Amino acid sequence: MLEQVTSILPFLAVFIPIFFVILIFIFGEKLGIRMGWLAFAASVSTLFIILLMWPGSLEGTIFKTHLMMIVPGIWMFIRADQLGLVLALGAAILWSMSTMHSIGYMKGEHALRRYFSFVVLCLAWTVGVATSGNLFTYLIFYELFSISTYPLIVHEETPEALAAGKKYMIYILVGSSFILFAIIYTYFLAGTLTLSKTGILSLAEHGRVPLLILFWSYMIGFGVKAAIMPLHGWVPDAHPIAPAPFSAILSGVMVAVGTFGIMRVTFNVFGASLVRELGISLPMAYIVAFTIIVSSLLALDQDNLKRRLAYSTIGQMSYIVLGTVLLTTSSVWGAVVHIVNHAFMKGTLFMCAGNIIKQTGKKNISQMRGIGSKLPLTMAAFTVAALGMIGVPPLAGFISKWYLCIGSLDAKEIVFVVVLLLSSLLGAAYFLPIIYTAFFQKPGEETFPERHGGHAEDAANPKEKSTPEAPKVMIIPILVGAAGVIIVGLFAEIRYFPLSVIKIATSYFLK
Amino acid sequence: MLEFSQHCPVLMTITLLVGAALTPIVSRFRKKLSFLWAMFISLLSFFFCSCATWRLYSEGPISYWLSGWEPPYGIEVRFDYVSTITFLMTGLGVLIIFYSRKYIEHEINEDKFSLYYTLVLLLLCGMVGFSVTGDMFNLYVFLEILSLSGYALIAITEEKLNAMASFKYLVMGAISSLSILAGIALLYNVTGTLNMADMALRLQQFPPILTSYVALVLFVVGFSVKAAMFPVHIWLPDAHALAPSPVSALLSGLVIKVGIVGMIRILYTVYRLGGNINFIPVTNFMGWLAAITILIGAFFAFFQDDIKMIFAYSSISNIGYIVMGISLVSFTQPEKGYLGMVGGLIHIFNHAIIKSTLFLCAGALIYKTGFRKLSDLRGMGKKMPITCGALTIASISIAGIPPTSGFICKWYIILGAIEFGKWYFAAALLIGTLLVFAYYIKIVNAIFFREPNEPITKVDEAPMSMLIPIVLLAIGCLVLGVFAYLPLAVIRPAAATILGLPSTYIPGG
Repeated sequence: MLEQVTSILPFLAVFIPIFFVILIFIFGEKLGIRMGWLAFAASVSTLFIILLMWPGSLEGTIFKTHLMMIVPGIWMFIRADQLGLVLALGAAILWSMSTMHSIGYMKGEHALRRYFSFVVLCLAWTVGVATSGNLFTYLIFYELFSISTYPLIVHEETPEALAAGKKYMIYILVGSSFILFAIIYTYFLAGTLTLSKTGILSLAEHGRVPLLILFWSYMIGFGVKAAIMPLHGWVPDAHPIAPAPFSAILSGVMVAVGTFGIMRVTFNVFGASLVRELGISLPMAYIVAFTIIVSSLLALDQDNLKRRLAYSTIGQMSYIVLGTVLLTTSSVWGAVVHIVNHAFMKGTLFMCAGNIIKQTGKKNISQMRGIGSKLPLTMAAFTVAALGMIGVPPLAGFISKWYLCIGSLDAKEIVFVVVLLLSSLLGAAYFLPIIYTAFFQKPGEETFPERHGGHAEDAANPKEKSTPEAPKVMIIPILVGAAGVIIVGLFAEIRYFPLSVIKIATSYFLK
Repeated sequence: MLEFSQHCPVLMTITLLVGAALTPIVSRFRKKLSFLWAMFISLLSFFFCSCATWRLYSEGPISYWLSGWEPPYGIEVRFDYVSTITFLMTGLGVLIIFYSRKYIEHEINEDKFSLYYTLVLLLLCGMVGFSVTGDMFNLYVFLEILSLSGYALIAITEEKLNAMASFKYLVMGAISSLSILAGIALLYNVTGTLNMADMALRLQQFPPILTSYVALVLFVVGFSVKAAMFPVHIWLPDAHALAPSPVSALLSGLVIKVGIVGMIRILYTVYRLGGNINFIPVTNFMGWLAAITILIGAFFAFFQDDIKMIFAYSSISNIGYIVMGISLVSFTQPEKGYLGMVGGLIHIFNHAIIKSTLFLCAGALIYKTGFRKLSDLRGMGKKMPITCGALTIASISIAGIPPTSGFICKWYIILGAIEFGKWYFAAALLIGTLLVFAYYIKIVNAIFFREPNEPITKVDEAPMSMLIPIVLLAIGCLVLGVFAYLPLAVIRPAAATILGLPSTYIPGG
């Protein structure tokens, strides 16, 4: 069933965005905000190429390209397997939404050319990470991605943004050092870096201690990006400070790249059976279970909307890691499909938060009373996505949680079912008040402070008086996102939807 | 052609020497001629060097006997795989002389122009001669030529601080030259010859005796000073930061590498063959010093505000990488040291290119603004996008982010350290690069993301004569990383022959 074909498609998926970056760089100054459409075109073309590979992937085909030799013996090797394509698909969809949203959100902002160039570059690197055929290629794209994110996080150039950027860089680079070390050590042990279907290491050959060192180095390295506690420190600062459409990308895909790394390590470097033999999945599962609960509790405490969403992301990423390390068929389905589902949901939520900021200037939840009547479409989309996050059937989040719970039961670990349910409950506790505040509370004094001569910051904002719904370019992406949340929930089991591709991947990963 | 390329190693040295001597005479006719003359001479020697390198890879090492006297008696000029560093030296020399034309107007008096070019050519001559000679005494002579012209070039701006820095360098340099001379004298006493290959052969015939080990220690100390290893690195920051920027690029990019080449020659050409080097664990000791050097250099760079001071400290740190790489060897199992050696050698090349980019960019910023403190350079990214873009690329490279050229050495050296089970070396390297990145992010932040203290007016992009070398070098930083097999094709035989393996050696094969 599985066959590898040499094809130019994965190469194109990575390098078409780079081509568009050059276009943006050349014509950006002339086009002004319209260069956002170039970025949108880049995302859509990438999406198109990924969709070209999609049917073949359903048949079990793996597309690959050997690009060139970097150092003797190690190739730059791009290979789009089923797992990678799911991440790439999620990324391309989210980028299409986000770049379109940016056209509205970034209007009148400074340094647009820099913003759009780096957003599209990040897409190229994400697709590169998703379709890396060996760890060396993975490392290259991963590092490029980490670096290219920096100018976007500090886009505002305020002292807070720079501080958040600094924190981000320190965390990520310490993580990268662990990854670099782990990859070199893998090369030393295994003599190869090519990701294989069932892992490249073996207990008999390499011994227990080196493998444990290796595993935990990888987990620390990727754990930083996947925001596993206690390595999550950069997330609550970096996600809120970035421009909203990019926060959507950060939360939706970038953090998922970390969890994707953990998947690659678990399935393609160690292999499921070796991880089981080493008995490292349970300790890891307890760490992420802790993260799920604590991040949800912390989210309750946040008044800044984007910050609350950032804490929610920390918990959601740990769902994915939990499903991965439990290593049962259903839990892995749930984990992988949650990458796409979470990208839809969290992307929509962040873009909605962006609409609120852009139209009303409000960042805190306590100021948002009655905002639902001012921005009906935005808040409707927000509600759908938030319900999805809580896990209300038949929305996207429900599918992931369903499979994760079944997977935990298969692994005979009831405690994780309890954790998942508790997390849903906490999710309800921090999302529903936002919806309640927005729709059912009357606009109070805090919402319109200027009537009583309230504080100057809000009164100075001329948009305060009449807050029209956001322009079309900002509404369409969130509506698409909300529709996506419903569709991938309702039709999850239908062929051509991500789950069916994931089923093929797990069929050979968990052999 | 073959006949001609045989003479190239000598021709390139002689060209530079004669060219340097004639520069003051040429500039008598017309002031501006001295620049053209220096360009012509450096291009000519680059051409000779290219021929010699071509010959090396088609025919193997060149051994040239001056006036036809056979080696143990006459002077031998030997162009082997290690000597390919001259390709880098002459190539960078051309770019830096090209860059100097505008730049020196800013820092040097007009009547010193011809002196400047004379000294730069002499410096190049010293380095090239040092790298191709097969004779111990010539090694010393060329070392002195390059050191003296280095001292003079630092002091050429006639500032008081520069004179101080130059004097500090001179004192340290004199100590190192003396200890190297003493080492040569002791070895001559033991072996009765000055030819390196012959020396190695004769050392083999003796039982290990104290004198030769004292000489070894003297050599290591002497070359450590030249290479600015901890704890004898103290001369470097002032000297490299205060010198005119193109000179800083030469000093940081190439001159300190001469110390490394010297170490390689002594340790691996003379002593490896010549008996039991493990009598004193010199490589082990150097590895530890290198680890400390990496951390110290990176640590101090973190606290600098002067942009050139940061680069100078980072050079110390990078010398640590190189020495760590070349000291990860085992004399009983030469295959084991191969990876570390490749890592160390490739960083000689990559660091030269990256650090020259950094110093030339710093020079362009100083030339246009007159500022050298980071806090004054804020917001320059918008005014000088090409210079600052190149600076960013070089910063990312030196932090070793893949796929830039700085990454390759990290890959090989860590692989080598793991091969020997020396985890702490790998850890030191990783921590060092993290610190490096921390201060380069400071630079990038300052030039791109921070608000300028006061609105910048009247600053525009640097002139073409400065931009062309900067852009070429920045492209080099990327290309040598993405297409790393190109420099590796040169480095791998060098590493293999240094360790006494066949030049076509492939690990595992």
